[in-house]
Amino acid sequence: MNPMWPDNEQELIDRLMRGDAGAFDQFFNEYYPRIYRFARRRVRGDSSLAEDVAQAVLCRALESLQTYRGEAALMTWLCTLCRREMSQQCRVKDDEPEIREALESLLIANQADLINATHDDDVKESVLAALDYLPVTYADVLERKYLRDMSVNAIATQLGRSVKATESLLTRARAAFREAFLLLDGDSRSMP
Amino acid sequence: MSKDTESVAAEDAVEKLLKLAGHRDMPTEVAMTRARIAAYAVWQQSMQHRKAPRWKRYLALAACTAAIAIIGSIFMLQKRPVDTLPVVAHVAVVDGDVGLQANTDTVKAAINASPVFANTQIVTGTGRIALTLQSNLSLRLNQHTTVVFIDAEHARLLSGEIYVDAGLARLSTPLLIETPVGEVMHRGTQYRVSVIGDATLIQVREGSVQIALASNREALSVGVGEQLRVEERGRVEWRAGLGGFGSEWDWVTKLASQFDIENRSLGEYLSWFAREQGLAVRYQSAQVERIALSAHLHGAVNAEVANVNLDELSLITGMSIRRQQGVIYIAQN
Repeated sequence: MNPMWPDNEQELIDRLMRGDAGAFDQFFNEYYPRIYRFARRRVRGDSSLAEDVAQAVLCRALESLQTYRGEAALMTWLCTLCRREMSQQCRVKDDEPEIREALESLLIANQADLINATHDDDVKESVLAALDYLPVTYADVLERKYLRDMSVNAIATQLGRSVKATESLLTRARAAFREAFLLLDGDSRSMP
Repeated sequence: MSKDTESVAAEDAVEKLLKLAGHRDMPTEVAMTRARIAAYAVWQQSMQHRKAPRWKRYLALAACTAAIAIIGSIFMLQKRPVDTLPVVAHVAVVDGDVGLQANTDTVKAAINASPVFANTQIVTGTGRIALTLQSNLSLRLNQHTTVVFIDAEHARLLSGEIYVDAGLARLSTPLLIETPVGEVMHRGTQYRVSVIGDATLIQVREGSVQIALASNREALSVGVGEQLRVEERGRVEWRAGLGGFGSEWDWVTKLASQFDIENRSLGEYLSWFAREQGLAVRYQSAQVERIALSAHLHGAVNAEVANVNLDELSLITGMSIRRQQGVIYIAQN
């Protein structure tokens, strides 16, 4: 199994297509912030524009759920929609050359290289991008452990898992993070 | 390097990287809410379109036409009992005659504490009604209002005026009110929605309300003291700096439930009273506030009797409690 490609994504889409309100909440809560950050990195930190783009992307995705065939990770599909949306905004906002320039450089980037389109080799950006590419549970457990400095016991309690299961989750999350980071930050750079 | 040493080093590297990057940015709460409303509206619409492909719709239409006589006759003979439908609310206060019509049943007069079932249309005529939803949200309907309750989280305002008070609790699924110009949702708030002719008005007393416009899917946010007027043809007008009290809110206060003050503190009562009236509460000092919170009352009161209550309270408590414009001032005599 690809650690960055959770196997329950098709199930989430199926639930959305059946009209499951819980699936809508899950989809929105997990993907809106991630698409917002994906867009923000590409519009030179313009939060307001990124919020608009992310909103449009999620609307577009919900309109065309039946076109998602599970051939790529859901996040990858949403990022493709996001690129299209930004290119659309680029055409609309012809009077904003700075944004257009950023978007054009993005469109030139290799489509297969998901996050390299950040065209920014800053490690920090790559870390943040890698976190957004991980399944939500992985990113969440890493943030709890290393940014909030929570103990494994405390995380286990909050997540309602056993300590052993939490340790195992952390191990998988670290492995997936390393893989994502190296992919995004380029093979030439090694981890510190 | 041993395998253990390697894994510790790898873990350290992950930790260093994450600490270097810090927390991830989050979109603002307002943007999240706006996006959620817009996405929800699109999702609902797309599901309706997706439900039946065209050929299936034709087939369904043919089947419906053929079956309509049979269904009709069965329906006439054995209509689904209303009380098997889910209860979405209960009547809290009725002022005058208000009609409830559930599931095409005959119209019944609303009485206190009676249940309101899903698919019920409420027509207030010259009366008014206050309802408590299953989620504890308070809903009040002014005169000449027609509302259809589709379920506990979804109402359709056809005409007239609704007041929503979500209380202080945050609801996981807020009430969605459909209007002719779009869908209205809130987050922990007090507000009015009116449909008058081809215009829909939203005025917010507390919190914020979002409307996803049906015309262009734009999501607008209305804040405290603001009024948004949207016409069906798409024209939008904003007004700001409006108070949450005054004659246009009087009908709302008339429908307030009684407040059981038995063993509740003066401070609690004043908070409730101010909230019902759209007022703010100002204490002369922290000490006065502490006294108000420790002074206990007995009995029951109604918010409608406004200033009379405040005068009585002043006499009973020996404190100066007076209302001036949109504020209740409490001081020591």
